[in-house]
Amino acid sequence: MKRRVLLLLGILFLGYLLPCGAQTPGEPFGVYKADIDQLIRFIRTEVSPDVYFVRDTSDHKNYTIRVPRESFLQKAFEELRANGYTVTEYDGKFFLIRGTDLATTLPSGYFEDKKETRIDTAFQKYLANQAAVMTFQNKVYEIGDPEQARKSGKSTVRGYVRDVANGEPLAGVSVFLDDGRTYVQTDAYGFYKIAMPVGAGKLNFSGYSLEDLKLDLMVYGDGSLDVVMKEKVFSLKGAVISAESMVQHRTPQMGIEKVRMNVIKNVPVVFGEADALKVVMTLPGVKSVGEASSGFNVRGGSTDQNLVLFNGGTVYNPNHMFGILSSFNPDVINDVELYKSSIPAQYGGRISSVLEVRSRDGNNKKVQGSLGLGLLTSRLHLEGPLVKDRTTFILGGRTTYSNWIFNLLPENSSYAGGKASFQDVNLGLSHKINERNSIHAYGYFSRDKFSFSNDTTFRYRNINGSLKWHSIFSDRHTMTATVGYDSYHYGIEDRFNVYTAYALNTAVDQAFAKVHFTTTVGEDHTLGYGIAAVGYDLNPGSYHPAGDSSLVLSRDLDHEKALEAALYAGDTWRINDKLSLEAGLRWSQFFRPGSSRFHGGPEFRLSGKYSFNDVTSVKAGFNTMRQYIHMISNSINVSPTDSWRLTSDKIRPQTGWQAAAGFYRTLMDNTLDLSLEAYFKQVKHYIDYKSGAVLVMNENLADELVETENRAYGVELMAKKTIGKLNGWVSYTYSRSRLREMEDRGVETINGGRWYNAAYDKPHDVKVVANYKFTHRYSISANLDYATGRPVTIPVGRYSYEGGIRLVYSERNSYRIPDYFRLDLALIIEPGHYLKQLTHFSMTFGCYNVTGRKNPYSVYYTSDGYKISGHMLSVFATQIPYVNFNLKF
Amino acid sequence: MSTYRHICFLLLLAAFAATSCVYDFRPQVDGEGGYLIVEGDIVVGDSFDILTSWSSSLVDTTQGDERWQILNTNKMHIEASDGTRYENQFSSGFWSPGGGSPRGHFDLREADPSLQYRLVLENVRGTYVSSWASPMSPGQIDSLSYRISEDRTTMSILVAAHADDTSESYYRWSVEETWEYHADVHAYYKYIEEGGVGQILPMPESESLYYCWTGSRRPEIMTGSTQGLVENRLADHLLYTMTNRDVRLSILYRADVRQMRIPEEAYRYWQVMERNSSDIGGLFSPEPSELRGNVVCVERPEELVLGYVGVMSVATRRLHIKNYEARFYRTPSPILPAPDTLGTDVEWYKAFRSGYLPGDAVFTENGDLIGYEWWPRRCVDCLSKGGTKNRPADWPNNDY
Repeated sequence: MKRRVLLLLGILFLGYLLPCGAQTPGEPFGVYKADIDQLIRFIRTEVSPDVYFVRDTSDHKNYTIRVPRESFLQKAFEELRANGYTVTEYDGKFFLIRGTDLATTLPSGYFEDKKETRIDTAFQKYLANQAAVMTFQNKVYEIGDPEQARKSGKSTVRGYVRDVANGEPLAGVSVFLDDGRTYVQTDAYGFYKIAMPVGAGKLNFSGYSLEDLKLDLMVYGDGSLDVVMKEKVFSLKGAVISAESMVQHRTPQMGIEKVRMNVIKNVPVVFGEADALKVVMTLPGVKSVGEASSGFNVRGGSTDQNLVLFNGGTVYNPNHMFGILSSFNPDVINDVELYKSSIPAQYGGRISSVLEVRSRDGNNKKVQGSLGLGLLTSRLHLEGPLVKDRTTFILGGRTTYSNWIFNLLPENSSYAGGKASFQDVNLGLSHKINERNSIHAYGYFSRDKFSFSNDTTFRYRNINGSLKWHSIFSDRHTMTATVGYDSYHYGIEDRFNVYTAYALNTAVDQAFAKVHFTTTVGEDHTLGYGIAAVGYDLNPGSYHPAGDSSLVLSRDLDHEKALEAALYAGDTWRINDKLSLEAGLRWSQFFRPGSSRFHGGPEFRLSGKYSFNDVTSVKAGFNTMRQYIHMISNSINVSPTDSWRLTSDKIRPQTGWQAAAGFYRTLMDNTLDLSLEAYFKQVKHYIDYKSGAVLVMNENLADELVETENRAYGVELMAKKTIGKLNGWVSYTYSRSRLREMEDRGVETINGGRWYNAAYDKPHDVKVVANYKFTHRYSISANLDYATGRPVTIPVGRYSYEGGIRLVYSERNSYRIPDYFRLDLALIIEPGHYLKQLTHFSMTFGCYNVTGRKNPYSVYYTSDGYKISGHMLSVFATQIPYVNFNLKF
Repeated sequence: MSTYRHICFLLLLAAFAATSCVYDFRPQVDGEGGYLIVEGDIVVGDSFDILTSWSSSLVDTTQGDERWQILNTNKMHIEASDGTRYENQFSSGFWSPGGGSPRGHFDLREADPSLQYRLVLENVRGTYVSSWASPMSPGQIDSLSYRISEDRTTMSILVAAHADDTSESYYRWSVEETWEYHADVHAYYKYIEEGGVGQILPMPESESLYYCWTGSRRPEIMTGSTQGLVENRLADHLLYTMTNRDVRLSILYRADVRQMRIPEEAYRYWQVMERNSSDIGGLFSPEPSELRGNVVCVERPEELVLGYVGVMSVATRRLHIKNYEARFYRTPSPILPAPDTLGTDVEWYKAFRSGYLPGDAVFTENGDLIGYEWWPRRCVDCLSKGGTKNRPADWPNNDY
């Protein structure tokens, strides 16, 4: 018999200061005017942890008990009995229920040949009839059928972890045994699967910002256990040991950074809008060319070498308003995960990194929502059950109203026609077909439009749609199948001259399907394998007349179509307590109709971990990657005229490898993680452009491009504190990224064929993200960013030519702009913890660039023909105060 | 369009910041000078100049005197594909220490347009040659016109051009401009001093200081192409813009436009040169590109030589813009000193010696002469603003 036990767990009492501090023996001991919650909490902390109670909300009595420690429990029980409670003692444990007696004995014969642990069934039955949320950690849960109990070996325990408040699945929760070596994490569906020795054991659940759980299990065989967890109310005194901080010592993978939305919401960003991508930029190893830049660079890679996945679909331009905001609505995001070194075999197609952004599932208990109001945007989100506990939805939308700013401009300014606007909509639907199968549908739409005059308009939009089927075949075997469609369209319309008015459009459309299986083999192997395919349809450019007078000839470049397919398998092998390995092989193949060359090959993923003890580990990894789609750009930023192209007869796939090693140590009662990672990385066939290349509407684009090799290396040091009043991270990175043209084109070769700096090569980099909680409601956050100035190509000489003064430029990227420094501060006011209140109001006040430093984006000279002037462009050259209101209902 | 300024502006508005986000800045550079520059085109059917110079460092403009000496050893000639040599006819009238000249003047009025030509330059550093090319017909300038923006702040000078052959054309234009302007104050009188005795006489037309003429060459790089158009013609193609405060447009403005057709390679060269000087440093700006022209050092092909010596023939057309028709120019209110009204010849003499000139006469209400307004010279003499009194031939008005 497989029994399902639904646990409603949560500690209700944390978050309150103890009524009294700890006392020395002999002194009076007790509580003063404590309510029932505080009293029980006190008993558990100071006297006996084995006290359980069913909360009675009608109990508003204040208890004052001051007696010697030895007699405290007795006195307390007296008081409670006097107030209508029944105190039942069984097996050294005390159960408190108001108004009801518990039967501590069962009908005779009930226990015949059975385990003692069945004993509490009566109590459990009682609980099943109660809607109350219980603290019940030390209860023993049975897994498997006692009738067919195994004598030895291991069984698989699986189940879902959900949020107690809204039933949402909790992803990334650590599930582990006390042996210090058996460790898994819940997947995006909150699902976990762990091998446990048969017999009695303890199972731990721990997730960032969640109350830790420790459950007593009696394992007879394979079985399931669903768990609900509760968001942590921060304890202001002392820290709760969290397994989250120990993750580094358990998995062989390295270079993985995971950030949850509640952390993201605390990091101050420009204009105060919580922004997942901006927080990714605060992680070590992630750089950008400057403020308001759309792309990011991971460990010396280019911006097109990052795979940005949103619920499995690829987002080609995850930005609004030239990169001021990311296009992910903070209200629907659950977490972001960045793979910058060990990339599981399941992912492929980009050289540098994978950034997985996951949205939440809707609340399955009740309909709720939120409303946000910021300087530039407003947001609305709604979520709830469509069919209770079965089908949920989450819907989020954002829009901007920055156009009013333009309306303030004087009519005769040349910006009078300027406009910038964006919208985005997210929709998520989840349906639980049965205990083993669920279906999830995601839709995403975003669009941007901006113009600086009446003549020229830029537009782009992303559409993503995907359908996911998550199935548990058996306790050891699960499957996730996804199909979807991603689309990114870009357009420019220029009507400056009616005779040459044109509209230029480019597009990336792709359909994908992937099936991923995980299988547990024996006790120590977890296999992941599957297939993935992406069908591309790229429009590299269509150029059409705009308006009747236009003489522009309609021209469409041939669409580029191709299929990228991959087959992969990987194994996580726990060799022993100290050593574990993860190995993967991915074979990717690229088919381009009409192409005479086949591109494809193996990719290897290997990483290993050795733990000296519970808090000290070393890791090493090696992986190879291939990339078949390339962004062609001649600007350092992701710009409107960039276009995506596929590998062809003339454009080879990019290939690269990375070797990395790391040292990890956890200190201070497992609250502080120190890590040191070093990497070396090489990429071949990275595409750069020839001097003076024409990249737009060029049929023979390949002739304008050159292949370069990229060599990047670096060391990343990080100290991270995930819990406590003060939490956050400090990191320092030293890294270099340099390029060299692969082919010798004589005098035309970029920088004479020597190594030159990549545009995002910023060797020194210090980042600090910190949050300090004064109370549960008030906290301040700080964000500090220092980096070496990025390389630039600037004028070094001048000459007079054809009536004007002209400039002579340095070799590519041989100078640097001044260093970058920025400090942001924010005060965050959380809503009060009044459960009965219908709405919760939170506010954020902040200031971006507190020191007002004029950080340069670029420095350059211009010549208007008569004279040369030097300039510095600074995007946010002053303090930017902001305020953000959020209403939850 | 320099996109970055727009974006920058937008960002700042959004940030409620009042300061501009483009700041003056001097990047610290080592400075590089010393690239040979060859400027000019081989114009078949006309005479033309070729100029050589050096680029200078941005930070140290005094460096490299000895390099300039090299240019005095330049010996230039134009070579045709049939072996004909056209020698440098330039003569400064001075003896050159290097036996050559930095400047070349050539006469190819009788040259055969079906041949290919190139420039050959020899000096003590080596031999430099431009690439062979035959002249392309310049196409036709169909019209020159101007357009005033809706807010009447800018004027665009537009060209319409076509070529009879059907293939796409790449054009380059250069513009010599001439304009008429006047002094701030019209002087109707002049002061004459003879032997310490001064007198004021009415100003004769022939000696007027009011109207002047001057000219210059437009510094813009002007290119255009019909690539991607239905017809091989350009309509209303923008050459350059001027503002309504531009003194060139104050009375009468003349643009002499020279149109050349150039090969695609040259078109790209000019485009890069334009982009490198105007559209860089912004958020979406392309990175600046190295500019390599078509002049190569025979001995050291890796040496960077700046300049593109094209082979071409030229079409010309002239545009006049009269302000009394365009009504575009807005006279800036000049900050003029208050004139002194002086009535005695002692005062006149003193004022004249201090650089003042008489303007108009001042009378009482009854019509009695009180004296004359005396102005600083710069207010009444248009020559002080750099022009000349030489009205160009064929000038459409008779101002003096």
